[in-house]
Order: sequence, then C-alpha cells, then structure tokens
Amino acid sequence: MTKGLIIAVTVWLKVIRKKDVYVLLILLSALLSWLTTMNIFGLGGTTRYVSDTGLLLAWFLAWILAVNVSARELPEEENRGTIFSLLAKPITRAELIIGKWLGAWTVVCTANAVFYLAIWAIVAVKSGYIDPSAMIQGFVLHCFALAIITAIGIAFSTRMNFDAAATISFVFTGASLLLLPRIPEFAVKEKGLRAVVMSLIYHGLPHFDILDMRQRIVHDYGPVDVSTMAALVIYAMLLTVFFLVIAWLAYRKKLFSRSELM
Amino acid sequence: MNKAIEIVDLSVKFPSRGGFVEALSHINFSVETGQVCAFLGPNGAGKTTTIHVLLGFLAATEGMAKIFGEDVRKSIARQRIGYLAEHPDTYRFLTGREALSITGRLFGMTGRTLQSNVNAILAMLDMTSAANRKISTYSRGMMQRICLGQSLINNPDLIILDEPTGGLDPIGRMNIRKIIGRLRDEGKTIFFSSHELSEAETVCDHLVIISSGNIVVSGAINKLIKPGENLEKYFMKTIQTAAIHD
Amino acid sequence: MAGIIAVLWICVFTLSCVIYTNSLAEQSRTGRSLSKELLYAGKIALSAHFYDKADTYFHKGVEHIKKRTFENSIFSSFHDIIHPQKHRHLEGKSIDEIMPWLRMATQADSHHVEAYLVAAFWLASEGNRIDLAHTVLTEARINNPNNYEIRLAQARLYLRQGLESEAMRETEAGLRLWPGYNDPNSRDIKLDKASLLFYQALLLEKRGHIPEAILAFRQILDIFPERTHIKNRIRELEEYGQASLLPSNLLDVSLSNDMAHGKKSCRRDGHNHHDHDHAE
Ligand SMILES: Nc1ncnc2c1ncn2[C@@H]1O[C@H](COP(=O)(O)OP(=O)(O)OP(=O)(O)O)[C@@H](O)[C@H]1O
Ligand SMILES: [Mg+2]
Repeated sequence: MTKGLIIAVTVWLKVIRKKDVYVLLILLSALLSWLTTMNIFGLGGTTRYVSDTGLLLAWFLAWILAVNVSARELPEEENRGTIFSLLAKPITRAELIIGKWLGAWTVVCTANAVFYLAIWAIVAVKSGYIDPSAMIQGFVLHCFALAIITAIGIAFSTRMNFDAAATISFVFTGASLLLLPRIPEFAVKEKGLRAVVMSLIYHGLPHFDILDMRQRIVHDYGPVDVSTMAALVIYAMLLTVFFLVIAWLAYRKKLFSRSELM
Repeated sequence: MNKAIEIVDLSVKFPSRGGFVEALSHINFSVETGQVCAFLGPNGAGKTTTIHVLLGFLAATEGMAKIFGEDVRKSIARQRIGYLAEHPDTYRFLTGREALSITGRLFGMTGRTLQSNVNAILAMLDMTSAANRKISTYSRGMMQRICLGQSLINNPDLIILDEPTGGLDPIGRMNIRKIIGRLRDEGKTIFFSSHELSEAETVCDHLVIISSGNIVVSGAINKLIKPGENLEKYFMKTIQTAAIHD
Repeated sequence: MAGIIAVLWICVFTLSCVIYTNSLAEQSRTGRSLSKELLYAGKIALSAHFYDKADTYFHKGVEHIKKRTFENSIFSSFHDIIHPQKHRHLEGKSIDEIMPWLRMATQADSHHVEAYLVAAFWLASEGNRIDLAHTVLTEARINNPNNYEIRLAQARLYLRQGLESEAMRETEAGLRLWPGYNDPNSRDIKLDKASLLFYQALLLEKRGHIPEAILAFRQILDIFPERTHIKNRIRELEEYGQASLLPSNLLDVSLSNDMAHGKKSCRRDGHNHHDHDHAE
C-alpha cells in the first residue's frame, strides 16, 4: 500500500506544480468578492446569494478539476512512456490504480477545502452566517462525491486516451449531476420502454443529488443526523470501490507495446 | 551458476491487418548471473519485444520467460531488476533528486538508506550539481542519466538496458559505457541491446544476436569471435548468413 | 487544460453578460443581427432564472412541487432529507435574502418589470424601507417609461405615505398608460385599472371633488358591474354628498388588503416582453 501512497504523492506534486488549481481558486475568490460588492437596491447584510453562488462554483470547479486530474494520469504515463519504467518496478497494477485515484482524489479534495474556506471567509467578512456543522457535513459529502467522480475518470482512462476519457467522464458524470435529479419529473408521463429506460438511468447512475447539501447549507436547515450521514458515506464508498474495481479489471491484463508511445 | 534470465521457446505475435506479425518465433536463450550480455540485431529484429516480455509489458503468445527463476508475470520478479527503456522519460515536473528518491521509495527504501543511495547514484552519474533542478530543464543526456539512475537505485542484481546510448553524443555514450563497466566490476548481471557494436565489444563478455525474431547466435564472445576478427565483422557475417538461410 | 479554458470562458461570458447588460440592451434594440438577438434571448433567460431563484429563496430553497415518480425509492427518501421539500416562506428581515436575485434579474434584463415590482413590494412591506422602494420604482420607470404597473405601485407607496397629490399624479399617469402591451380583457389587467380608478376616486372624494369622484367610480362599474359596494357608494355620494365610510378609512382598508393579497400571490405568471422593442 505504501507504493500506492508514493504514486499518490507524485500526482500531488504534478498538480501543485502545474498551477492550474491556483487559477481556479483565484477565479472563485474574484467572482465572489465581486458579488459581495454588488449594490442590492441599497440594502446591505444579505449573504445567502454569495454562499449559494460560491457553493455552486465549488461544485462546478471541483467537478472539472476531478475529471481533468483523474482522467489524465494513466494516458499521460502511456504517452510519455513513463509507464514502462513504472511497471518495471515491483508494483502491481492494483497499487498503481489505487495510488493514482488516491492522489487525484486527495488533491481535488484539498482544492475543494480551499474553495470552501474561501467561501466561508468571504461570507464572514460580510458578517453573514453559515452553520459550520452543516458546512462541514456538506464538504465531507461533496468530497465523497468527488471520490466517485475521480474513480470514474480513472476507470475510463484505463483504456482510452485523455481526450476520450475526459469527454466520456464529463458526459457520464454531467448526466448524473444535472439530468438524473430531473428524471423523477420527466418519467411521470412516460410509459413502456421509455419508462424502463428512465428507471434504469435513475437507479443505475450515481446519485450525486443525495450528496449535495447546498440547500441545507444556504437556507440554514442545519446538519442531517448521523445515521443519514453514515448511510450516504457508505453509498459513496461502495460506488467508488465499484468504479475502482472496474478500472482494475480493465487495467489488470492490459498489455503495453511501443505503439502507445507514438 | 544461476540463470538471471531464462527464455524458453518464446513466441510473440502481434495482431495486424487480417493476420498477425510474428515478432519472436520460438526463441531460446539464457543469461547467467554475472555475465554482461549484449543483445544485438538489426532494426525490427525483436529486441525491444523480448525485453518487454521480460518486464511483463507484453504477454508471450507461447513459451515463457523467467527472471531469477520467477515467472516474469509476477511482480516479485521485478524486485531485483533495473530497467532503462528504449526512449526513457520520467516525470519532468520533478527535480532529479526527487525522481530518484521517489523511485527508491517504490523499492521500499526510506530515511538514511534512501538519502545515501540517492547521493551515491547522483555522484556516479555526475549529476550532483544539477540534482535540484527540474528535469524539464535537463538536456537529453542528463535526462537519460537520471533515468539510468532510476533503474539503478535499488542496487539491482540484473540490469536490463534497451539501447542505453541511443540518441547520445560521443561523450554521453562514453559516460554510459563507463557506468556499465563499473557495474560489471561490481559483479552485476547486465543485459543490454545496442547498435553500437564497437562499444558493445568493449564491455560485454557474452553475445545474443537476433534477426527477424530468431536467435542466430548466443554464447561467450571469446569463443565466437576468432582472433583478428572484430565484433562488427562477425555481426555482419552472421546476419548475412541468417538472411540466406531464411 | 481544455477543461480549465472552458471554465474560464463560461465565467467570462457570464460576467460580461451581467456587467454589460444595459449597454447590450441598447445595441440589441437598434441592431438586428442574429448574435445580438441571441445575446438578448440569453439575457432574458438569465433574468428569468434569477427571478425563479428569488422565488425559490422565498420558499427557503424548496422548488415548486412537481409530480414525481420513484417516490418509494430509497434515493427519493434520501433526496428529501438532503433537499427539504416542505412548503414554507421566509419572513421578516430574512426576506432581504431574495433581493440579490431580483437585483440580478433586473440587471440582466431591465425590462423585467415584475422583478422590480416584487422588489419594491417587499422593501416597502417587510423591509419597511419605502424610500428604497421608491428608488427601485424610479429606476424601473426610467427603463420602462410606458409601463402603467410601475405607476400603480408608486401610487400605492405615496398613498401609504399620505402624499396625496403625488399619488394622484401617478394614478393619472397609470390610467393614461393602461393597458400598454397587455391584454385589456385579461382579468388581472382589468383589476389593475379598477385599482387605479378606485384610488383616484377616493382621492378626488377626499378633496371634495364629488362629481369627478362619481365619474371615476362609474368607470369601475363599467369594468366590474357587479361591485355593489361601489354602487352603494355612488348612491350615497349622489344623495348626501358624502359616504358613511370616510375615504381615508376606505383607503387604509384597501391598501392593507392589497398588501395581504400581494404577499399571498407574488404573481408568477411571467412578465411581458412587448415593452423592449418600443421603449423610449
Ligand atoms: N505493437 C506492435 N504491433 C505490431 N507489430 C509490432 C508491434 N511492436 C513491434 N512490432 C513488430 O515487431 C518487430 C520487432 O520489433 P522490436 O521493437 O522488438 O524491434 P527492435 O529489435 O527493438 O528494433 P530497433 O532496433 O529498431 O529498436 C518489428 O517488426 C515490429 O514492427
Ligand atoms: Mg528496440
């Protein structure tokens, strides 16, 4: 397992040194700061729209980052040929997959933590209030959602190049994030085959909607109880493991020849 | 003597339009521990393919390969080997020192041991002064040396090098040759492919020549090459006769 | 880093949409190019989105309840815990929280009169800031000079403040501009005219201009002939020259009714966009 950790550390070093994350953070802070300076009909003291927009952006940016980082790792190893020297080491494919996932997930979560801190700080500067326990719960569930997204990115990238893997991951997770929550409404009128398809989508795709606590945070509903939290975390972990196992099955027997280099 | 590399009846076929290309057909050879064995052959002969099978990147269509008696498909077989790829590359966002220490950690080294191993390798490669620079700022030769260092960090008993001097200038080649010489003196088993025959001649004691996926010759260099002949002449002669037989 | 570039683009696009809305609105009125039309359509959609957001905020983040399937699924029950669905409203000071979205709605589309009206309504009622409500309506009026609804809202504000001549001026302007581009046969629009006439009649009555007041009351009956309390009042005025219920008392009752009604409905029937082609 320590070998997985070493792989994870190299993912970290790469993301930190490539500086894209900082751009996103600056973007988020600038946008939120600009929002707080908005003149709202001469009223002061409103902050929900800031935390709301901030959390929406955090979800959006973390999603982009998660797919980008996770889907990039394996294809880049193959393109550069570094996969050869890596696999020449006494490391198993499973360790490689887990290490890459762990690195991608933790680095995206760290960026996400900074996003949440920035939101909290900007709201606090405007003397707004966010229930800290709901915020922490929301952050934890968000991170578990990111665990699923990074696992999906890794799974698709085992057998595709970066562009294809990133596109498919974006489509797949995007459909889960945006389309799936609307399915219960859409499916009301459907019958027959279409209803079956909708049901399959609803029950088959990952449910990010139940990991998204934004409404509770923004509108001050407070945290959810421990058992709900535990159930949701277990759900997310199961899905993550599921996608990692898929990734491993796809990668386990993958053969490498020089043609990948070109 | 123990066998460091043992290849038995190994065939590799690549699927290609309609049928397949047979890159290796039923080859057999072995390398004993302590030998320095040059793996020679014209372009497309099957050298890289053989090495890739040894490292488990490719699966054998038939036959099998062993390293120190372990089937190459097990990851334990790679614990005692160092490998330098044909076109070596490494993470360019790391510094040379980081690249070496991360590789060391993959072999389970930590703390003092790791530190001193990294320093020793850097000194041997003559890279100490550039060690804290990002690899993206390195020249081709410096990069090659760091990659070689990565393959030596675990103090391997068997070192497999695929064209270690490819793309290097004469000074770079000489440096690599010196390093191979030093490793030979330390008693390591070295298996390297090369197109630089005069160079190979100066460091190796055994030869394996492959042509179109068939082993043409393998054996000790002093038994194969008669006095007055050099490796280059011998190589040409064997390849030509192999071509006639085909 | 194609993804990151895409994010940047989206952000820049949204920013520019919001910041430059006003100048773009000017351009889209004069020019007719496809891109400008598209931009304009985008701005209207954005404005509608912000307006919906305000509505959602008013209901504490609960979106309008729609029919759903899979109600028995485990996902659905978790969904309802994470996204509370109970219908409820913001009250008091916290109503301020809907204002940013109304502000964004009006910034994205300065012809979104309803957003202005809702903002002014809450500022004047729960917010107790009639001054700010006036500012909002003044801005709305500058951007939509031919809209009678803004005049009606302003007349109400003046009446609450007891500024009768200003209120009179607004009702007159409102009646002149009615119905604008709205359907004069729609019940809501007719109700608006009746309100304008009613306020005007009471103001006239208060000043002692009884015949003019009766005239205005009769116009209400032209629209809603069944309103017996108007008939009674006309009769009282004709017979005794005054009514049993003082006009100022009736005004108070009427205003507080309007207030209660406004809170309840906060009409969501969408606003009209005929205005934008012909404004100014
Ligand atoms: N992925 C592949 N698909 C199809 N054929 C391949 C593939 N990889 C290698 N080959 C073929 O196998 C044969 C042996 O190739 P290999 O790379 O082992 O040669 P080599 O001896 O290393 O040559 P060089 O000296 O040029 O490096 C060649 O004919 C090559 O075209
Ligand atoms: Mg080769």
